[in-house]
Amino acid sequence: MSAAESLVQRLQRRASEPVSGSSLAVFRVLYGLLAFTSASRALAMGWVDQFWVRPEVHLHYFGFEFVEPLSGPLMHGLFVAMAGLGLAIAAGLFTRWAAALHLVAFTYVELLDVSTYLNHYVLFSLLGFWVVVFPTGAALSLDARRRGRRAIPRGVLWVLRTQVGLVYVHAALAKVSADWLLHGQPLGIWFGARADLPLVGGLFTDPWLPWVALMAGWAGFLNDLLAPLLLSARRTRRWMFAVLVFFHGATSVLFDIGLFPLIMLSGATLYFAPDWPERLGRRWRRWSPSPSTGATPSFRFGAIPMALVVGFLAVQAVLPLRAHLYGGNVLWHEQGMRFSWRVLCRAKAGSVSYRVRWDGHARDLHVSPGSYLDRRQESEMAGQPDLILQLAHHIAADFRSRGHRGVEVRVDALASLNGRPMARLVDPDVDLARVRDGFAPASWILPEPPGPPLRMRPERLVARTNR
Amino acid sequence: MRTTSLVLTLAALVACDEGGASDPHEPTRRALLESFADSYYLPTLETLVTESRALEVAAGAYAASLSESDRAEAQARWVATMEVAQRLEQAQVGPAGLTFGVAGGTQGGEERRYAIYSWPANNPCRVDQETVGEAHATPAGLAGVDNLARGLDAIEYLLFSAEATNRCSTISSINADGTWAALEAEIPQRRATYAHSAATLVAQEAEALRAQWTTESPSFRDELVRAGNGSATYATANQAVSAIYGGLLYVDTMVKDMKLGVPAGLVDGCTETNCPDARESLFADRSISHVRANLEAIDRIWHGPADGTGFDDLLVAVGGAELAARIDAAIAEAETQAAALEGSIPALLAADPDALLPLFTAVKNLSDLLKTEGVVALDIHIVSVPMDND
Repeated sequence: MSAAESLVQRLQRRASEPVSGSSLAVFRVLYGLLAFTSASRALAMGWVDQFWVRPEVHLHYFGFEFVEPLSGPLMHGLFVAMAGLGLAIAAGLFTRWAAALHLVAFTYVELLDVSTYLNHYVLFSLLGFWVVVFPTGAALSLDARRRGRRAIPRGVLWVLRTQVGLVYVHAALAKVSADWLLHGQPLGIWFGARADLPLVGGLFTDPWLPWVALMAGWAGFLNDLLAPLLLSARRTRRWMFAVLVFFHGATSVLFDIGLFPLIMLSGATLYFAPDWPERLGRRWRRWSPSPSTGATPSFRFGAIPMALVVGFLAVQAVLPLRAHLYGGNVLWHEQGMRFSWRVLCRAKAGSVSYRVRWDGHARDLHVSPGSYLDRRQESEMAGQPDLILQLAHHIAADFRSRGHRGVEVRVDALASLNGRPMARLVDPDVDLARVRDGFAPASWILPEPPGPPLRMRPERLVARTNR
Repeated sequence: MRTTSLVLTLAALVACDEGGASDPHEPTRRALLESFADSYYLPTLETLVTESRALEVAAGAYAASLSESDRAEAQARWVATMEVAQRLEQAQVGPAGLTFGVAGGTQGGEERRYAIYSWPANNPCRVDQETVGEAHATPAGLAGVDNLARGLDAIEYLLFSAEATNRCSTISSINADGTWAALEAEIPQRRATYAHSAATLVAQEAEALRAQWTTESPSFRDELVRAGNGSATYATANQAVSAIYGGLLYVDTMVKDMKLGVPAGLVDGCTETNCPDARESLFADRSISHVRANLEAIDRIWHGPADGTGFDDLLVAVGGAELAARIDAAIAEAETQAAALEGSIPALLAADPDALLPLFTAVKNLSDLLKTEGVVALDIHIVSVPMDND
């Protein structure tokens, strides 16, 4: 017991050692700039209207059904404010307040509609949480200029590295599947659609494609699995970072994945020594901030903060694994899919048509999701059973509001995963109006179809005379 | 030696990707874009220009004579024009295509279709209201009227409706203030003049659309085929292919649901046993023919020209030969079911309330395949936003 206490105390003391806040500050600047870019991009691309203002129906997160969008002008104003807060975070102006307000606004926006869910938005919220909690404005900030530059406790960097490392490791674990490692799917499908790319496009065609997809799959898996480890070791850090620059750069070119590569690269900088910006500045002889090591950190890893931080990270380490409790293929049934860092793991599309009947109308009336959702929402909903259920409830409520009684809603939901033949995702005989959403295994979701994904057997053009 | 081989191989690969004119025998996305533009869309659009000009001439002759023979000729020209328009309707891409909304749409769409054919956003009462006004007398005057009261759907009503009455309610101003009743003797002439003005506008719009596809700088044809290689509209070839593919899903929302499902009483919008009055072609009773034209169009677009590339070729190239065969069969089955239907929708439904069910089912099977396996196998992104699982 005393040995355990001693270990905890040693860990606590080491975590509280003051180190330079420069690397954390650089991360904060990058985070702020990404927050600014994210909000500005949403405004410039018209996404604020498209995603949150125009849709008549929003698909809610379980338990957050009460979260509704503001009016159009207020939503635009919110994004302008988020862009401004991003700049304030980057500049280190009232850093903690700016980060807290941005976190609340960003998380609110993410909670508005499940169809906008992206893993990297979750990561951005988590990183934002740490930007609020930790003294990220201790250096390279207007706050530091006003109050004086301070060191940070070493443990802050440990926590952030663990946060970033958890994403990589879980992303790697998510790739441990026959589709990814044996069949090279869905990478093969995606690469095949990029054969027109300059320079590398030729590799995505017959006869290279299957091998390139398979090699890229393994490379991606090993990259994610080893990144935290090799970034942590001093001897391999630079090389691993260079690999990550190439890896995230390549995914950015090949896939439309928004800011994710930049977020991960920003996070990866945290693995370098705490004073790397100062060293780099000295090497360039242009900029050399006064070292902050030795100044008193404004944050201490006391027993309670330590326990809370470790507990929070432990939850994050375990939560993504919950999908395994459901059995089957999470990419098919999607139970436990969200918040589990299954990044770029599936190519899935669905076709959904509801069948409604009510007292006095025994014949099925087909209802298209398009009557309620826009095409983007519909394409997201069609592969996710809980969203199919949610819309079924909405349709039932709509028909009840028209004065119908005894409303029953069934669904023809067909989906294709990684190019497998389409199969029913939801039991067509179950009245979804009577099914309640929840975390228990859903018996109304049908098992995934057997068989391998789309096999890449590129063939030269078939003889057209056969037509 | 090995290094030299590697360099030569890479050079060959790079050379293949420089985005120049593609080999029509290679099933690439760029080849598909060229085949679609040059072998399907532009020839069809050219036919629309020709047919709509012929309709304008025939409608003008009818307006001048009011003879039954000239009316029959104008009706025949409308049928021919509509047949071509339906083939373009099935290809909702480019300036004529739908933009995003509840009904769907594709990237690059500008909704110019509404000036040619606005169904289901049409309204015979609006046409009646304009009939008693003066704007319809000239194309310039009618051009200021909203799309609900012009285009091929308005012309159908004007040329085919046999009723001397109007389609507005009794509280509508043209009935409440007696305007319609006062002009009742002039109505045939006004309708014929109106049809002529509307036909002129349709022809002008078809020519403007052709100019946008061909002669404007940059032409939409070039925007499409240069996708990912200088196109301002499409950043990648796959984006442009996805836009065409997304346009094909007209078969789902419009053909399956609106043209078949609602009249058959199978789809929300009709809560009776069936609703024949909700059919597309209410006055010429060409609804089934229109569906046939839509299906023929999807057949041609899907398979591409004999010497070019279609979606089926792309599927085969990525290992989806079996899926390509199933989609071929689904298209053929839908066409067979459409061909088996003889007569108007009201007559068919009167004889058998489930008469449209086999065709509805066949089209649903086709659209299910397109929306699931086809989308996945070809990596189609109908809505261009960051990927869902990053």
